[in-house]
Formats: sequence, structure tokens, C-alpha cells
Amino acid sequence: MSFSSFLIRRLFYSIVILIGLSMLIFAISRIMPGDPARLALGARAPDEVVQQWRDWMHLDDPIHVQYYYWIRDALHGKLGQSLWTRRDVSIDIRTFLPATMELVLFSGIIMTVFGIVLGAISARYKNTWVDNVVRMGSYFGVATPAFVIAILLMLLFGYLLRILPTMGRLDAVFTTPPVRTGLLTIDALLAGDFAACWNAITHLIMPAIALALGGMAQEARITRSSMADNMLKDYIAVERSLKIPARVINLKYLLKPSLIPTVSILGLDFAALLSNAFLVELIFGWPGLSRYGVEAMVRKDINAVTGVVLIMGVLFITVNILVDIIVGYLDPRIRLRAEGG
Amino acid sequence: MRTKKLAAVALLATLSIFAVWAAVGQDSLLRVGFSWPTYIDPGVGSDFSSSSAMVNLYDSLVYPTPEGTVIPHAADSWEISDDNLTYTFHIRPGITFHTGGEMTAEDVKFSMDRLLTLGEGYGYLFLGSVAGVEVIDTYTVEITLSEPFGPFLFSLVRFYILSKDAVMANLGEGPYGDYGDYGKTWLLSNDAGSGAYTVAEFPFEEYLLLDLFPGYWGEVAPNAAQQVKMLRSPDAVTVKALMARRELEITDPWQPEESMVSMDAIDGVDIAAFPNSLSQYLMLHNTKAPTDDIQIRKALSYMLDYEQVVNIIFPGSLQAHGPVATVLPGYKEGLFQYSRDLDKAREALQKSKYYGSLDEYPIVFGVNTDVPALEKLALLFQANAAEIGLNVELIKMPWGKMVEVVGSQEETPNVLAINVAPHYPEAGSMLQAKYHSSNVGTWEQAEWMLDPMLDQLIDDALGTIDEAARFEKYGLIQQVIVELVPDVFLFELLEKHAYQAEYVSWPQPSNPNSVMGYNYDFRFIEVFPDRIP
Repeated sequence: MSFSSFLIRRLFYSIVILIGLSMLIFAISRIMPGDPARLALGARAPDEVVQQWRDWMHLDDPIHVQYYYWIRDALHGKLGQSLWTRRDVSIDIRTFLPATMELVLFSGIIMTVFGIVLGAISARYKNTWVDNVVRMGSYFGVATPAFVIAILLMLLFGYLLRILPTMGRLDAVFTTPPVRTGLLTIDALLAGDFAACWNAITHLIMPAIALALGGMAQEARITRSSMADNMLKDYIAVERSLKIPARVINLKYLLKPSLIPTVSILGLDFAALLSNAFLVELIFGWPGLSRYGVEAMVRKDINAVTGVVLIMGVLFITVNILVDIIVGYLDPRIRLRAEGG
Repeated sequence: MRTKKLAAVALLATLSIFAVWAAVGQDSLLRVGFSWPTYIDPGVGSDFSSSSAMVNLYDSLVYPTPEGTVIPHAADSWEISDDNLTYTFHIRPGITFHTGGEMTAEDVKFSMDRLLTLGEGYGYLFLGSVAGVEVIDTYTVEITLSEPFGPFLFSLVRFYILSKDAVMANLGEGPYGDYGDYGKTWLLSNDAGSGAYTVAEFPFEEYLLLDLFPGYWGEVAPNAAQQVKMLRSPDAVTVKALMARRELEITDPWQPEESMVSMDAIDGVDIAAFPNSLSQYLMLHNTKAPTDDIQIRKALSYMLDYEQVVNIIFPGSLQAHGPVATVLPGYKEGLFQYSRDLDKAREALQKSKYYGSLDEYPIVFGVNTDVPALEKLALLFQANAAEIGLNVELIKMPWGKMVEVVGSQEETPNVLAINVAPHYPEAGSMLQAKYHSSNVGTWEQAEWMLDPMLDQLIDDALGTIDEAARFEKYGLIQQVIVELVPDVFLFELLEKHAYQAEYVSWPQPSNPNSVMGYNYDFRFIEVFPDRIP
């Protein structure tokens, strides 16, 4: 089987997984305690109005009938009305998702780049004070929850030093650039508003670092460990004996295969970014999908819950497929194994 | 060399941040924290932030005063028919809508018809009591009731008038026939009002930005903010940082006590504290053992450490004097107030029919996990109950579950700690919400009293037009309720806000309005940017 066939099979299974996920979350959201219509309308709303909402949302229909209506609408791009925002969930997702994606993207870049660099430095200077500092920092990063980091950063840079903005995505003095990607930094760049772009970046710094630190520490530890193991391999010894420059050995022959476990774990780290984003979004007033999703669960906003979980599932599956592709590129043995069937 | 260049660029970029921030002046901007979401459609919104927004975006026929009366507002006068069923309002000429056009009787009729049809938000105040609305002439409108309703004028503070033309021009698809969605989709992020402020921007998930409306007909303080930003309140740490940086002028009232203390220490920041007529109750299930026994309810009322509740758990709050907040018009003074007395608690327990078999009847306390302080309250209750030999079981549940269980007489726990706010400025609002059988099974009434005598008394009081007579009847009802001990009357909440006293003049806390939202009538709050520290 070729590598492309392997990927097509992965895509097919992903669709099956998404369908299963939609059924599961749909069922769970319907059995959560509380009457969603009553919760949305309040204690004083007349019973007939509440019943009108229940009829409109098909809440009294059998669950498989409710699922049918939901799938039918979903295939037309409608995910039902949010009881919180009172508008279609698809609009909410289009509104909130870019903010979370920008935050997660920024965090992901920080996490990956700095994690790998620190891990490589730690392996290069193994058993020296540099290695020890990086390893201690990694333990701190892995052990400390993202929201604690967020609060510490807020207190230091937002309250004491006051050199970074504390909430939101852009200062009020700037006009929001025309929406092209939904990522404020990119949209501002495309609009030629460099000041707004820089301002958006400053708003990203604290939340992105808070979110990235745990994954960065993990990536650093895994990279260091993997490089340390590979350093002892025979082919490295051969390359050294052939007087290949150390820099070439480290970057081309040592780092690349050492990244395989690091990249493999990236998929899980990405899921961690999405799940930790809620508290970070809360602390920094970031209008993102994670916070929207958690509030939807608390409010028993059943359509929003289903929509958000589905989107998160799609994102998670997409990232893991990308990870598979990258790992296949990094390790030719995987491609060859796949092609050999 | 390259490194030095990079460092120089980074330094310049950093300095540019400060340059931009320095250029961001206050420009008479008032930023206020609120809980979210905010619905600015008068036919939909009814919570704290929505009510505060509607006060500023729309005009009502009458306006509530801190003294508990109503004064003319969009209506400059009115008459009431002899049978107390027909109210004729004369609309003040010259009230301009933000979208253009003048307010007329047609807009009033349209707004009430819309409110009654949607049935959401504050519609419940008028459903069943308003029989019809008729336009008499351009500025005269008649509202007819199905039966006399004493607090009707007071309830009109929740009736906001929309521009019919604006709504009709923005109808979407919906279930209301020719009216489509009645403009609900458009009104999610736009306003059709005539109030002192109009919507400038509304990214729903972040904030609501209001501009002062230059064509406003009413009184506006000379230094009222040109722009007001109602912010979705972030985490407490962020709020504290915003206050220190002067990027927030008034906090929301839900900040933890520890945060309030540290914000009070910031130069130029003060704490405004005022009663807001919201009352906290321990609602006791009156028809489930053992709290169906009045002696048990008395024992619970005597055993509780009220000092700890109002001084430690909810510092600054005032112990309740009966079922109605003291600031509400119609509150009866001199009602009996329970205090901690373990001897009297034991005495009541001994008179109980369950005495001697109390182990078989644990008292189940449903704890709202969304509010940490209520958990402390529940633990205190449990500890106090153990002192007199009562077994209390705590069951934690999120708010959604709590709303569900109170809908069932069997599932409602013996005790629930819930706070209730009046919806119009009269004791009758609380009495009806909390003790009339028509509202049983809602989160405002978990006692399951189902008392026809009380229902009759409340109906009679609400049907009394003369205010003095009505208030006297309210007093009698409160007396009866205190004697029946359906609840442990805990405290009246003190609303606390940290605000930038150095450059913000906020007059309402010193003479607070008991109607939710009216202490945030922004046209009376002044901002002095030149005084910013």
C-alpha cells in the first residue's frame, strides 16, 4: 500500500470517528441535567413559551429523531441555535474559533520551536549546568498548570511592571482590520496596518506563553532524551570518525531522527493546548472557542456543546494526520513500511 | 553585529508600544465590568447586565426613584379609570429614536404587543394582566388590564419602547407571521431605542460599546461619558490589574472579598457598597419530612450562626428581617428576627413530631457548586445542626441541576440556598415570586407551601390600587410568613464595586435605586479624564 493510500484510509477512519463522536456527544448533551429551554428563558417565562422552545428544539422527540434533525441541519451548515448567544452555533464557531486558533497557533509555535531548541541545547551540553537548568525548568513547566502560569504572568507583566496588555485581542485605539483569516495578526498585516499587527502580537504574548509552557517543557525533555540516546549510536560515531563537522552531525543526522518522538507527542500536546485554553482565555478575557465551549456545558447549551466538541474533534484529527505526515517525512522507514504493505 | 541590530529593532518596537499607549487618552470613556451575556433586546433580556444596558438604550413610560415611587419619563402624564382597569398615557412629544423618527403611541402599542407575543424577558410581568393596548391619537395610548393590578405602574419600569419603524425595517425569518422574527436577530446587536446612549459596537463575546446620543431629550450630567464600554468581566486577577492600570472604571459586583480589599488599597480607588434588594434565603421544603414540621424549621432558624454568615462568609451583608428586603417599598418594619440561640433551638426540636427519631430523617441540603461562598454556608449550617443533634447531608449540584430538581416536589431537597431579586420595586414582587402557588416549582420558590390562604392574601394585596392600603396588606402577609417560618431568612446582599473615585463621580450608590439596572444609568455618572492619577 502506498503512503498516500495509507493517508486516505486514515481520512476515512477519521470520518467514521467523527460520526461516532457526534452521536456520543449528542446523546450526552441531551441527558445532562436541566431543562435547556427553561434555563435559557428563566424561571418566570410562561410555561407555554418554554414549551414553544422545546417544540422548536424537538426536545420532547425521541433522541434518534432529534439526532436526525440535527444531522439534517448540520449538512446545510446549521448547527442549531445557541441558547446563550441566541444565534446559530455555526456563526458562534466562526466568531470564536479564529481567536482560539490564533492563540493555539502562536502557542504551538512557541512550544515547538523553543521546546526543540532547548532540548537540543540540553542534549548538546549534557550533564553540565546548562542541561541542569533546562531540566529543572522543564519539571516546573510540566508540573505547573497553565492557569497558574497565566496568573503569575498577569501579576508580573500586567499588574506590577505594566508592560503588556492585560485583556482582549487589540487595544481600543486600533480599528479591527477587515476579516480575511480571522487571525488578527495576519489580517492586520494583509491590511498593511503594522501597528495593529504588533499590538495584536503584544496581546498574544502572555496567554500564548502561559499555554505553551507545559508542552514546551515536555517537548524539551523528550528531545533531550531522544538526542542523548541517539548520540550513543554507532552511525554517529562513524560520522565523527569521518571528521564530518559537529554542526552538520547535530543538525542533520542527530536532530532529525531525534524529532520523531517529539513530533509524535505534538498531537497530544495540541489537544492539551485546546483543553487548557479555557482558563487562559478566562484570565486574559480572550474571546475564544474553549471558553465558549465550557460555558455552553455549564449552561446546558446543548447545540453549542455538540458543535464545539465536533469542531475540536475535527481539529484534533487534522493535527494528528499532519503529525503522521511529518513523522513519515522524518523517518523514511515508516513510508517504506507503509508502501511495502 | 547582527544581534545588536536585532536588539535595537526589538527595543524600538517595544518603545512604540508605549508611544501608542500614551496616545490612548481616556477621552471621557467609562468602562464598567458586568457578568455576561448581555441581551439588549427589551423583549428578551432580563438579567443584570441586560437590564443595565436597556436602561441606557431605551426609555420606559415611567422612571423609578430611589424613594420607591415612579415619576413621568417617556409618558409625561397619565390617568387611571375609576375601575382601575384602563391606564391612559400621554407620550412626551419630541422624543427622538436613535434610528430617526419620533416616539408616538403607535410605538408604545407595538412594543407591548411585541413583548406579550415573544413572552420572554420581562414579558411575564404583563402576560395575563394586560388585556390590550389601543392608540387613541399620536401621543395618547391606552393600556387595558384584565383585572386590577396595584403595582402595574411600578412594573412599567420594565417596559421599554422600541421604534416600530426600525424593527419593521429589519425583520428576519421567523414564526410570528407577518412580523417574521419580530426583529430578534437584528436586535441581538442593534438597538431601536431612544435612550441616552446608542449601540456603537457589539462584539457579543467581549463588550458592548455605547455612544452618547446627541439628540437625547432628557437630563444628562455635564461630564457624562461620551462613550461607555460594558465589558464582559474577566478573572479577578485581571480585574485588579485593569483597575491598577486605570483601564477599568467600575468593577462588577461579584469580585471576591479579598480582591475588593486589595483594590481598595490602590490609590484613587474606593469601594461603593449599597443594598440592592436582593435577598438570600435558605429555602426549606415545607411538605417534605422533617422540614414539613414547623418546629424543625424554627430549630433551624435558631441554631444558625448569623454573625458568621454576615461577617465572615458574606462580609458587609445585613441579616434579613423577614422575607422582604428592607429597601423595598412595602417592607414591614419591626418583624421578628431570629438570632442564634441553641437553647431555643433544642426546645423547638423537642416539640417536633420527629423528636426521638431524627436519625431516620436526615436533612438534605442542595449546595450550588457554582458559588464557593455558598459551600461555606452549607458547611456552617451542617456544623450548627450537629450541635443540636440534627443530621444534615450535603449534596453538591450545579445550577442547572438545581433548577431541574426544584421543578419536582419529590426531588426538591429539604434545604436550598438561593438568592432572589424583585422584578419591580415593591414588596409584592417578592411575595408573589416566593410564596404564591402560581410560581411554585421555580428556582425562586422551592418551599412547596401551596398555601391557598397565602395565595388569597397575595392576590388581594396585588389587586389593591391604593398604595397605602396595599402596603398594609403586604405587611400583614409578611407577618404571616414570618410566623409560618417557610425559610431561614438569611441576609440582604450588599452590592460592592471598586471604582475610580479619583476621576469618576458615581452618585447612585449614595442614594441607591432598588430596581436592578438603574444604578447604572450612565448619563448621571461623570468622568473627569484630567483627574486620572
